[in-house]
Amino acid sequence: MTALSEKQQSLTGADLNFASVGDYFQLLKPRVMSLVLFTGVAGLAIAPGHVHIATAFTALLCIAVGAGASGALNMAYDADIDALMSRTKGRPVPQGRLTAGDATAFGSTLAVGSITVMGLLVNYAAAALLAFTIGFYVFVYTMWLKRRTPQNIVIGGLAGALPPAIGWAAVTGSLAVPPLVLVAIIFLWTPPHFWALSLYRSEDYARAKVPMLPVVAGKSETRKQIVLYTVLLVAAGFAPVYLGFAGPVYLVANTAIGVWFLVQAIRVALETDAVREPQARRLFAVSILYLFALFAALLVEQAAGLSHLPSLVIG
Amino acid sequence: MTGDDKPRAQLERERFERARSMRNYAIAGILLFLVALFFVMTVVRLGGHVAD
Repeated sequence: MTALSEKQQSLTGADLNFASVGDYFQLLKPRVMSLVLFTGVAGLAIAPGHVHIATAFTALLCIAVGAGASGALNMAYDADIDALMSRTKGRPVPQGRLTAGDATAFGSTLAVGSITVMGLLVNYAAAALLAFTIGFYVFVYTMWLKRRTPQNIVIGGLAGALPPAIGWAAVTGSLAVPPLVLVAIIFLWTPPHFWALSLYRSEDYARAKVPMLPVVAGKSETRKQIVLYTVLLVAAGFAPVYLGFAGPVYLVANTAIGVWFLVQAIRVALETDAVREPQARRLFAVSILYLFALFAALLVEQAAGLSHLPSLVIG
Repeated sequence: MTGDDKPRAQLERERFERARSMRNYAIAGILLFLVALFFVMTVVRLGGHVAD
C-alpha cells in the first residue's frame, strides 16, 4: 500500500474533500468561454486568406482553453471574495471542493498548454496574442485592477475583447484594422454589460469590498455611464459597415438591436425600483443578445458572401 | 447490506474512488485527443509532402 492510499484509509468521510470532473469544468467559466469562442470565430471568419479546417479548429480550441485557463486562475485568486458573494459562493474553490492551489495548477497548465499548442500548430502571432490576453486578464484585471478601481472592468475588458484579433491572427499571422474594430466594439460593450450586472448585484460587491462603480460612485452615476457607453458602443457598431467589412444584415442588426439596447439603457437610467433593478437585469440580457446578434450577422454575411474585405491589412 | 446501511466513510470513499476514476479517464481522453490533434496537424502542415 502506498503512502497516499494509507493516508486516504486513515481519513474519515468528512475529510475526503474531493472534486469531480464537473468541478474542473466549472473552473473554465463555460458561459464566458462560449461568448469568447463565438467572437473568436467571427475574427477567424472575416480574415482574408484560407486556413485548413484543422488549423481553424485548433485555433478555436486554443482560444477556448485559454479563456478557460483565465477563468480558472481568476477563481483561484478571487476565492476569498467569491465566498462572500451570492452569485459566486457556489464555485468549487469557495465551496472547498478544490483548493486555490488546485485551480492555479489547473489554470496554469491549460494556459501554458493552449499558448504552446497555438504557437506550434497555428502561428506565433496568434500564440503571442493569446498569451497577452491571458496575462492581461490574470495579472492586470484580476490581481491589479479588480480590487483597486471602479475602472476595473473598463480597462480589464480589453482581455475579453481580444479574441477576434486572435482569430484573425490565426489566419493571417498579423493584425489589421477590421479585427481591431471588433476589439473596440467588445471593449465598449463590456462596461454597460457588467455595470448592469453590478447594479442588481451591488450588495454582493459591497460585501466583498470590490469597488464596482455602483458601490464607489453610486447607482445614479452608474446609470449615466451605462447610457454614455451604450451610445458610444452603438455608434462604434456602425464602423464595420463604414469600413466595408460588414453588409446589410449587420447594418440592420446593429440598427435594430442597437436602438433596442439604447432604449433599455435609457430605461435603466430612469429606473425607480433601486432594490430589485428589473431594468438592469433586462439590460444585462439584452447586452448579451446584442453582441451575439452583431457577430452572428458578421458570420451570416461571410457565409453568404455579402461582405468583402477592403485592403486594410497592416502586416 | 444495502447502500443505505453502508457507513458514511465508506460511501464517501466510494465517491472518492469514482471521482478519481472519472478524472483519470478525463486526463487520458485529453492526452489521446492531443496526440490525435498533433498527428492530424502534422499531416495538414506537411500537405502533399506527407509521404516524403
